[in-house]
Amino acid sequence: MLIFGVTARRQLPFIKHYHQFRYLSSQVKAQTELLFDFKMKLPAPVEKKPKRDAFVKNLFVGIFDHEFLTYPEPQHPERYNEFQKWIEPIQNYIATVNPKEFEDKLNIPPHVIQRFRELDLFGLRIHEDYKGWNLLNAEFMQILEIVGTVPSLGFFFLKHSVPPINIFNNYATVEQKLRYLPKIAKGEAFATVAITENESGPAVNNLNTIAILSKDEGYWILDGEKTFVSNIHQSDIFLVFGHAIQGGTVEKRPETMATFIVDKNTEGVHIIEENIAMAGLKGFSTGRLILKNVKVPKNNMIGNVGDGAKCLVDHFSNSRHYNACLTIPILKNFLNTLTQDIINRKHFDKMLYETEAAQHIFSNITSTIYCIESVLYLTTSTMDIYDDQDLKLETALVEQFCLQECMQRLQECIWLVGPRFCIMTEPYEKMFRDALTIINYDTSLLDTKIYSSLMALQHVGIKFGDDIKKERNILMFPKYMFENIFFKRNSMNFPLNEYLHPSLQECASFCNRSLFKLQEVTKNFLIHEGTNVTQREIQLQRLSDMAALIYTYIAVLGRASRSYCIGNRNSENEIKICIILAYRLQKKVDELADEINDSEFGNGDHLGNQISKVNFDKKNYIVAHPLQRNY
Amino acid sequence: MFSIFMRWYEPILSIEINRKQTSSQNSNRIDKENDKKHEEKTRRESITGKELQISTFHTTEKKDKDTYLECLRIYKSHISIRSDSVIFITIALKYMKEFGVHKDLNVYKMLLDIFPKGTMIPRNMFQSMFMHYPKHQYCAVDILEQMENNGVIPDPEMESMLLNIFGRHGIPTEKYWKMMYWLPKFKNLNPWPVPKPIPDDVLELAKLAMIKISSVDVRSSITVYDTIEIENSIEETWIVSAIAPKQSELLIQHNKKIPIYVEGPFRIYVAIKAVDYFVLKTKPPICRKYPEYEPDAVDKIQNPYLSRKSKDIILPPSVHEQVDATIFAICATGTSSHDSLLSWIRFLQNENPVLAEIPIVFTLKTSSNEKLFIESNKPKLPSDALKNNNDNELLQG
Repeated sequence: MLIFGVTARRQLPFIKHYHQFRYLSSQVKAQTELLFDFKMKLPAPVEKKPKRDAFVKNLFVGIFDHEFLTYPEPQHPERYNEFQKWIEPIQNYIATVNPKEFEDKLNIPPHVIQRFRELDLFGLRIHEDYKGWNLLNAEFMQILEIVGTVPSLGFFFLKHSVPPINIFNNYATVEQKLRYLPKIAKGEAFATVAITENESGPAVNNLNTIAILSKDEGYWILDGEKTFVSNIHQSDIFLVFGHAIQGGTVEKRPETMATFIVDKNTEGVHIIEENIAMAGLKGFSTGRLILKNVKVPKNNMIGNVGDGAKCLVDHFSNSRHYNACLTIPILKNFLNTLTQDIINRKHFDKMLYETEAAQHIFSNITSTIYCIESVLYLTTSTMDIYDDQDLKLETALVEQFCLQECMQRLQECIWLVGPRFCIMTEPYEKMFRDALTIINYDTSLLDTKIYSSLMALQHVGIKFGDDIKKERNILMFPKYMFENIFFKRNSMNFPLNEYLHPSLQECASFCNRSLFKLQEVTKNFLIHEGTNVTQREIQLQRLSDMAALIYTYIAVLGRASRSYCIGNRNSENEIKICIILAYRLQKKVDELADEINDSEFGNGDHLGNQISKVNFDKKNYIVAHPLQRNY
Repeated sequence: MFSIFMRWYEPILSIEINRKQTSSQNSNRIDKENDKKHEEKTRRESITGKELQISTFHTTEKKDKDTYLECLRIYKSHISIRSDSVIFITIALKYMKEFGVHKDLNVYKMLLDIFPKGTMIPRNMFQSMFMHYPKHQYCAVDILEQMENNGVIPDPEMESMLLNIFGRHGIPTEKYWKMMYWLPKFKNLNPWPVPKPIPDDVLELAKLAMIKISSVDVRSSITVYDTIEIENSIEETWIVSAIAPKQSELLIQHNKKIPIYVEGPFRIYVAIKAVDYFVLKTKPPICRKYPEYEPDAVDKIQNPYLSRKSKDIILPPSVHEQVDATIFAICATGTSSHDSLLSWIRFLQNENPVLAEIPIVFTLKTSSNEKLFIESNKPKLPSDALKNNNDNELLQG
């Protein structure tokens, strides 16, 4: 019956035209409510536009898509208003949750989960066909931000709503979806993914979990051990990644990665009672899962044998920015607590908040939150507006920028807090622990940086491949050389200011210069290193830092301009933030560009490599004590 | 002017005398050339004293630091004979190794202390220009040279001694300064530092040698096995084995039909002492594939984070996969015998069970314990006792 419902629903024409929706939906509801429990409380979103070229990747080759300067509005006003009304009770409820309640617990308290069920928060990213909400990415992000006010709860919510649902949405069959998603949407069952193993690194294929097809070919028999399984104690469904072997040995395996849906109650599934103790995020459970001879029905495999690798790559590349979203409530909480704390503290003959040192820190944290919000909502809204937009690079840059900035700002704030930071009864220490855990839980920041810049360089390589080959062997191409000497076309001008409020004209030119630097540096880097770029990991990090700064700044420009034009409250301060950031961006980008241009022999990277090598040879600190005498 | 000349020649003259064993004729000739009879008399006395000292060095039975210092003390106690200090020191330097004091800074200092203080410091520009007391200076340089050859670094006290004896412009003082620039630098240059003094325990030496060889891979670990732990082991000895995780991986990947070899003994030096070691290795693959390297192909940059392929990736060979052989493990054993190596393989099997399935061939050269020379009937000289190195014995044969 349900399958019928799904197909029927998909053929309904009105979903695409929101202005007709209200009228039509009531009609349809009347007909279908009896049969199917459909809920369509929010007006349907705007139809997605055709996809555009990848934005940031093109910045590296000197193409600027001005569409991205217009800060996007993914919802039409009607949906926006209803959505704002709908999230009000959630906001109210989260305000009443006591974060201290989580501190000494191993799990999220059941009454909180019950309340979440009542608020219907578990199916936000699940399609309406499976009793979910199918919210837009930006909308989900807003709710995540609200729930994230209590960090453990936010992280629990994120780990529940994103990774497993993504896999179900993109790879599962309709039967599998029908079987599991409605339960998950109602909060009757929880799903989680189990990927990490003790010896696995960032390489996708490096897993030791093995599934062997049973003799009657009806079951996969799973063996393995998984660690860092989020929400392990709540979860009833595990999406386990492993190698599906139909024959042959483990060492010489062909493409065998697959994803299996494993029920908690299956024989052989053993969840280690004890949580992995983490520094922060108390109440959020992470644990180990042991699978011994677990029989998984053959139709519980998601996709086919070998699809698992793509699934994993997607998992790591498309949902990177969600963690970054949690840094917003963390920083906001920190800022608010600090403000309350500082306001009554004296500093010599002044109040502490009147000193320039404190003001600097407060302005920094405000502009950082502003940056994070701008870039995060620009990225997610782009996802919502354009169909199947390639945002892999953008999400990675967002993650990297947000996590890095968040850490730096917290560090600055700690200096302002002073010795009180160390006191356990004060909230700062807990906030800091939570932030640390969220920032480092999923991936290493270094990996993110290298990953993103390599992705950009691949794009540049394909685009400029011929030119770079000629430049690297310039004497073999005299014609090209002379053309380059006499008709060098290196001036690049994006008229950014034409798309922005006139007050931002200076900022636009700053941004313009940075863009030019980015393109120039990337090309030089490729000419200098060729395919060796993959080995120059420090330079790659610098390059991705540059790109992240520039992308963030473009988001900030667009947002500030929009705010100022439509007259948001305090929007003149947004312009000020823009001006501050323009200066700092320019400085940082210049510095990074110089470091890359100087190559590893100019900036000392190669010496650093040598030092580190000696360190590993000796496995100890290598330098003699300053008071050491040699004779 | 003449007196300057004479003082310059004085040490040379004294050597002359030494060579000719001081006949009375010679002394008469010197008498004629030199009017200072009294001085001549004391010189003659000193020569007899010198002979006495040399014979002491040669004839004394107990050759250790105390005896050596006693010789120095006796020499010093005769103030009159100190004028031929150059000869005495030259000879004393030669006997240092025999007395086992060639690495002792204090003994060198006592030798240097024999030189008179103050008298040999040039007092004007000309003395300084024409090398004041050259023989003494060269002698002091010899002391420093011998220190340098034996790796003894002088200390600041020696500097003040040299300044008191030869002054700022003396060659030995300059030599000292140069030494003090270079020697402390050389002291710490060895990447595999050896404890000083070098241990006599062969097990310790073997550990140091294994650390030295296995340092090519930072992950390698060194284990000391005792053959008693293995059942039915034929002889009791120790085995120092070194293997890296990468080598274990290579063993697993090794084609089980191709045999692997235990080869050796090879020789490695830890400071000045030799250690024999053995290698577990196999022939290199016949056609080894290397990863393609195209530095210009920028349109084919790989992003490992996005690659989904697990096969068809050729990795560059590790440090253990050399052109002539793939090396799986190395060891040194107490006896370097066939049986101890057998025990070694059995120990390795505990952690690398795959070894049980691979044929292992022992291609040992003659064990280093066997004597490869015909022993002569001549009784060994006492000085030969020092040459405990097999190489020297081979040369003799």
